[in-house]
Amino acid sequence: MNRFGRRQWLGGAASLLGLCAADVLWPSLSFAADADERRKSAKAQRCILIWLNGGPSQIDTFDPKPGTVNGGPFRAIKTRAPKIQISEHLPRLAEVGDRFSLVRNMSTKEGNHIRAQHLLHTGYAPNPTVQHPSLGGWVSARLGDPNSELPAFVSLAGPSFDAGFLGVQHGPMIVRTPGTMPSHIDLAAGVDGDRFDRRRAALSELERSFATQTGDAKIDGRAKVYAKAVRLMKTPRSGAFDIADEPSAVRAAYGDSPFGRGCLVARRLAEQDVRYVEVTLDGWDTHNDNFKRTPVLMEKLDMGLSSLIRELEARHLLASTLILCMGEFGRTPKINATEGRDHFPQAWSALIAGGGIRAGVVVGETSPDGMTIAGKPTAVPDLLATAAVQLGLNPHHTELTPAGRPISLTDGGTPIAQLS
Amino acid sequence: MKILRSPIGAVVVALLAAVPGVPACARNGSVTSATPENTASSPPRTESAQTQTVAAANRLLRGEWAKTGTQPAAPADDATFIRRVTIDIAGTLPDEEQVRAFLNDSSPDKRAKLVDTLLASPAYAEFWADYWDDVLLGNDLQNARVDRQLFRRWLRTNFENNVRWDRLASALITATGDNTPSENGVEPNPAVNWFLKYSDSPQDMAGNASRIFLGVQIQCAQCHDHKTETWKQTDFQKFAATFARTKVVNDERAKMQPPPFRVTVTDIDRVRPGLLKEDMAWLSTTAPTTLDGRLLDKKQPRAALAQWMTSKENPWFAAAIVNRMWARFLGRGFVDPIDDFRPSNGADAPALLHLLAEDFKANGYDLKRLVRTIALTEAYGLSSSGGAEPPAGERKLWSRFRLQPMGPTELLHSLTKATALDAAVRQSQLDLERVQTELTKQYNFTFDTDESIDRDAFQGTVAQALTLMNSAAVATGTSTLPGAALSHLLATKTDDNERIAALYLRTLSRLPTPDEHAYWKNFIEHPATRARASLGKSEPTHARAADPLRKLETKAAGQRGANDTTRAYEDMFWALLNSSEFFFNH
Repeated sequence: MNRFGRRQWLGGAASLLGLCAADVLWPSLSFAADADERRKSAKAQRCILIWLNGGPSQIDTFDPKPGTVNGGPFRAIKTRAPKIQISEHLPRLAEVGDRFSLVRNMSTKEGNHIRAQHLLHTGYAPNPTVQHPSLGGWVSARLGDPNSELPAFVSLAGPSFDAGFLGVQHGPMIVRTPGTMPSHIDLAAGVDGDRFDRRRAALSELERSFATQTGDAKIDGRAKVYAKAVRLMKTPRSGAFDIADEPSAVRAAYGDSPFGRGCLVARRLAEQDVRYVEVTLDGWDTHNDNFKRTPVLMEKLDMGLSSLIRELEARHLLASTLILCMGEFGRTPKINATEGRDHFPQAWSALIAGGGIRAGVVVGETSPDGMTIAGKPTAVPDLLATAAVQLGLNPHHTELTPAGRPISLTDGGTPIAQLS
Repeated sequence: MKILRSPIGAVVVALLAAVPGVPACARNGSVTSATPENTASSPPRTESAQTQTVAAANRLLRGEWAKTGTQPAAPADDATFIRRVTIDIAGTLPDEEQVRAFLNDSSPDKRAKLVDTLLASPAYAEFWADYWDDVLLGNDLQNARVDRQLFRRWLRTNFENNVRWDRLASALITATGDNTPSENGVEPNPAVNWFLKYSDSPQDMAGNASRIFLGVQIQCAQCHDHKTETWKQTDFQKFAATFARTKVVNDERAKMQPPPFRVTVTDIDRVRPGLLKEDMAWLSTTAPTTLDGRLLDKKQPRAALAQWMTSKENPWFAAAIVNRMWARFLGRGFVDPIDDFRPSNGADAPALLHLLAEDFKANGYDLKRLVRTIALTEAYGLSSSGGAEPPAGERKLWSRFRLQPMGPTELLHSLTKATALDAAVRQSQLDLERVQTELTKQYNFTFDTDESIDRDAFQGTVAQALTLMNSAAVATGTSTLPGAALSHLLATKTDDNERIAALYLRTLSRLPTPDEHAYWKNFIEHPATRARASLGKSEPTHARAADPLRKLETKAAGQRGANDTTRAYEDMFWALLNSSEFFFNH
């Protein structure tokens, strides 16, 4: 784990102050070198997680059972993939059906929202003794470029999960309103570039003096974070967060919703090689009125995700960008008394695309009534292991927590063979 | 309430039963109130005994330093001390007058007097209620049944009354009753809201109760026999069984109301329904047992557990809270992480931990007394500069005071106080409460720290830096808007040296050195940049998210009467607020 030694901050007052951006290098060059090595052989250079918060109903989306007792009123439609049929409410995704695969035998034991959200993001059930990093956190730590002006891990329209014991610097930069800049990236009113530089020069003087007085490496560590923040403020690459210059036709295709805009921002961030982006679409917890509410959600998902897949492919980025689309669990095949479906972690679906995985594949299947899985289910660690391997990460790589406990990236998962 | 198989336990029960008011904690619907049994006595009568405790603590620690050849740093000066202790006890900065008065006070016991003043202040209760609210309920609680406001108010009342720690812990462990008020006048028991956070899972309840109150991470053994300690999975299950005989009854009528939904928590005499099938299997056949193997009363396991936990013989309870408070004030516990007591994770200076734990138990589990003791030790009064830096990995033994980032609460309070932001907002006719709520939410999220472990490296995010550099709150706070600190300062002080000193006192709680005076005088008198409102991009070029202070910030930027000098002072103020000397508690 990275530790700042005294030698490093004594080495240069200028670097301490972060005034000369080019001079500021993250102390552990070995981190960057290893990340480069990993990425060289990896099929996927970056990952996008489309997070369907609340637990989407698999029967009404990606695992339809039309004409059965549990099937509900929606029909199934063919997709471009010979083996795959999905809900009639996802026609645009059907058009790109040969670009993605479905895992229909996801199964967990967690039916509680918070616990399941944690499990899906980190691969582990929550445990007060270890702060497990999310997959985004692992990607930031193992594949992030600390010298990049842009963050390695961005979360749009939702909070995602942080990097746990790997440290806050590997947590997500959160943008609640996609299409706008991250908070506080612009100078305050009345402060132009020159005035800002003058302020920073004065701040550097205070920092130099305090660092000399205390000799504490934390001051240098803080200065480096400030320098990274200033690089983000100054770089034109931060324009990736803003969609104002996108043609209106493009913005319309992604959909006029925070989620749609989030998918468009995700494409722009992928173009800037941001390693991990999560886009949240909330509202899937349909205990009531499932059949009125899910079509609205599906339209958003359909427009956003299909546009993202198409546009990444048009830019030759789909093969190097892994896309995961899932929620924390599925929903009961049995319809309840309020026309809804309840939590159902036992058998549900995830979508996976890009990043070198085989498309047009269906992994596993559920019984005709949707209640059980035939054969061995896919566990969350298996899905995350699949993602890890595509990204060039060893799913069993361990890091020590500050307390000295070795924690593995996945909880013993095995990559899904049919997808590679 | 019985603790079986434990003669000591029986004696404890008999003693407690003889004291009136004791069962009130476990009774349905009670709020822990300021009865004589519940509150710890205040300092005066025990002062000399406490002075002896502090002296004994100092001797013990000096012994540890001598043993390891550790050279402690020099004592911190008064300015450093008043800032440090005000942040640590009251979660805010001292104001200019308080700093000056303290620096000019020549009485030999001024530090003790300062500590007492802070402990008696309303800020103490508010700050520590916030702290325990965060520890117990956490930041990201999405639970439709928890009445967060009621819980926080209950905590604050308890800290205002200096409730005994053993009573507070018992109240939380044994809580029964309603979580929130109802129309039919049933008095809620706010303590119940902690149970509701974990009501779905006796395992989570057990793991967190053990971690928070006993400093023991038993939950490692939930899934497998503990890797390094002797706990087996069955030990965890026996402990978790303690919490399985309590059920939550929904108030069906209340479901139509907005959250928090009213529920009633009651103890029942069997494993409650509704748990996972595979858990029911072992829960039904497992007898509730303490961490050290004593059977607990199956009929009232939580009450029995509370008595075991808070009995003087319990090896963990007092040590855990002492360790937590020591870590909070000194930056690193005797045991680190603070909730990880185990044989393979031995304590530093165990004799000192033992001394403080015994003193705590012998003096009514008095939290204020504990804080006072810690704050008056030699170690707490050391400088954060100088002293030998031990090689990496070796124990530091608190031979130098630590730099640690302020947590979100202290940081926001300090920023607000230093800038008089509240006054500026009020004078601008904005809704102060709304602004405060928004800022609190924002800062709690952005500046959240993980205190459970001592880390060498600085842990910070780009979002934190951006917030302090560019947020409307800092811009407004450093401006010359009516009510803001700077506008008052510039109006009442005309001499640059006085103004510079005032800004230092407001932010860093000290006077500037002669070099610093010279630097800033030069900075003020020679602004390198003239205002270029027509050229500069003072309007944002990109779409920006909503910010409650955005309007005020624009107003601040366009202040009448602004000139190069006022802008230079704004710049200086900005630099001080962004400095590490401000941001860290040191």
